[in-house]
Amino acid sequence: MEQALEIKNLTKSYSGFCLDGLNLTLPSGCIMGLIGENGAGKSTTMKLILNMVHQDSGTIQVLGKHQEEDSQAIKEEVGVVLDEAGYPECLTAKQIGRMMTHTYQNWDKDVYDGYIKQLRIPWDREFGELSRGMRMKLSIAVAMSHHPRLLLLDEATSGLDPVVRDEVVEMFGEFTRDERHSILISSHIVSDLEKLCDYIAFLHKGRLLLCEEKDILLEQYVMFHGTASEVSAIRPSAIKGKKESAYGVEAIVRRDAVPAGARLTPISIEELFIFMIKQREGKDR
Amino acid sequence: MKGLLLKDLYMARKYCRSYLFIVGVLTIIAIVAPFLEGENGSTLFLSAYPILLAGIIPVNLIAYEEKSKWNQYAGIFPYTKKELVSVKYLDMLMALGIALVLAALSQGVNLLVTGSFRLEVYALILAGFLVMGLISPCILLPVIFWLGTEKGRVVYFAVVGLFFGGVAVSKLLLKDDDTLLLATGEKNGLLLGLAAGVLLMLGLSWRLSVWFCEKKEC
Repeated sequence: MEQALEIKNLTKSYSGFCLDGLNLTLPSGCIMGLIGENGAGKSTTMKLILNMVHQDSGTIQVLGKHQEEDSQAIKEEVGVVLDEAGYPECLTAKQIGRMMTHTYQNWDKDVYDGYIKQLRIPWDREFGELSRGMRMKLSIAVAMSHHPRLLLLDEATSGLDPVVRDEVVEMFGEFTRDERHSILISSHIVSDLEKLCDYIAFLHKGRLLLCEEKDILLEQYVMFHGTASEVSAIRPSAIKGKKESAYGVEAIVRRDAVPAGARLTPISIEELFIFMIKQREGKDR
Repeated sequence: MKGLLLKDLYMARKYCRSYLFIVGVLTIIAIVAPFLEGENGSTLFLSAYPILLAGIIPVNLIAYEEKSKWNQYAGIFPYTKKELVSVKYLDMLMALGIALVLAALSQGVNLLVTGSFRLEVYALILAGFLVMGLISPCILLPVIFWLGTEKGRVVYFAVVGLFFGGVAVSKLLLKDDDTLLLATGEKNGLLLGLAAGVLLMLGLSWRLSVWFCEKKEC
């Protein structure tokens, strides 16, 4: 299978932060959700893929091209939405469209006009006067109007109201109907990712905690409800995280490691993420 | 690059209207003044000021881009850093070109009306304007691409201050015989040399700006 994105041993250090030997592979035609707390390294990863910041070591291949050597060619085929859109404040959607006609070789005016209409973005209002949600919608329209093969979306759904968010998530889903199209998306709204993604990657303090197919994760892990002594009977390596309270213990465990007859409920990706992060932070302390 | 130029045109149309107004007014005054004042109607300053303003236009655009974080956001588009820098030099050269055409017009009228038109003097005035218009942005733009507009502006004011200080000192030194000195071949050579030097400086300035921009992380 062709890879849309292949990251190997990617390292980047700032003062107080280190993206540490990141390895990620996104197969073509798939959607990968990048989940992590603030400062986990999601935006840094996106910027490294786009060659906007210089990596310390490692390699990145985007759509089969080397990210540093073929940066311009890659950007022709990648649509990007960052958490904060930075168009000059005086530009209108109409002017941005004209500008992009002379920016992307494959710019499709009709597609752009269609998105502007579908997302109800005003043509003649200046970017600086638009709400955050409207700005994100405009960025999404730009990112999808030059027939990209890969979308890099950093918090692209934040600031959108639930109805528009649903519409946008559907647009992303539609985009990957074409098996040559792929998406790497980061979001704090894990429910969006759960709805959309084929693969889930957890980043915590610059380290990849987990990267797996979503369905496998939901199949492999369950929420165990019991007492502290029941949990202690499960082998520690099978426990991804636990929460103790006066009413007992909840633990996310591997399904194949729990004894028969245990009380189990399905987990969500959000629960898995929170339990894993808390477990990790407990270890770090 | 065409997309970037178009963006800068939209921005200039929005943010640089007052400059256009000032340039228009000064040019009209510079053209009309010799008709009203005869030989005493010296309009060098009126013609020179729009040329100085032309150098500020790309800096102003960069300042607005920094405010909206376009300077970082541009990294998601298929522009090279060289293109992002070059477009600002093109902006500057276009603004300077327009200001020079207006200055050529007003100075031509002035010299003709005052009866002192001599082609070599006229050419020297325009060469002087070109030098003056290029010096400050050539120094300023690399500093801005390195340190940003806030610190860059401080450098700009220092350069303009030095320039006018230099003009004042040279006026004192040449006070009795300045027009005579301008006409000598020696001074012609000096000014042409200076113009060539400034053009070289433009090239170096551009290279330095590209280098700073490429080193910088978005």
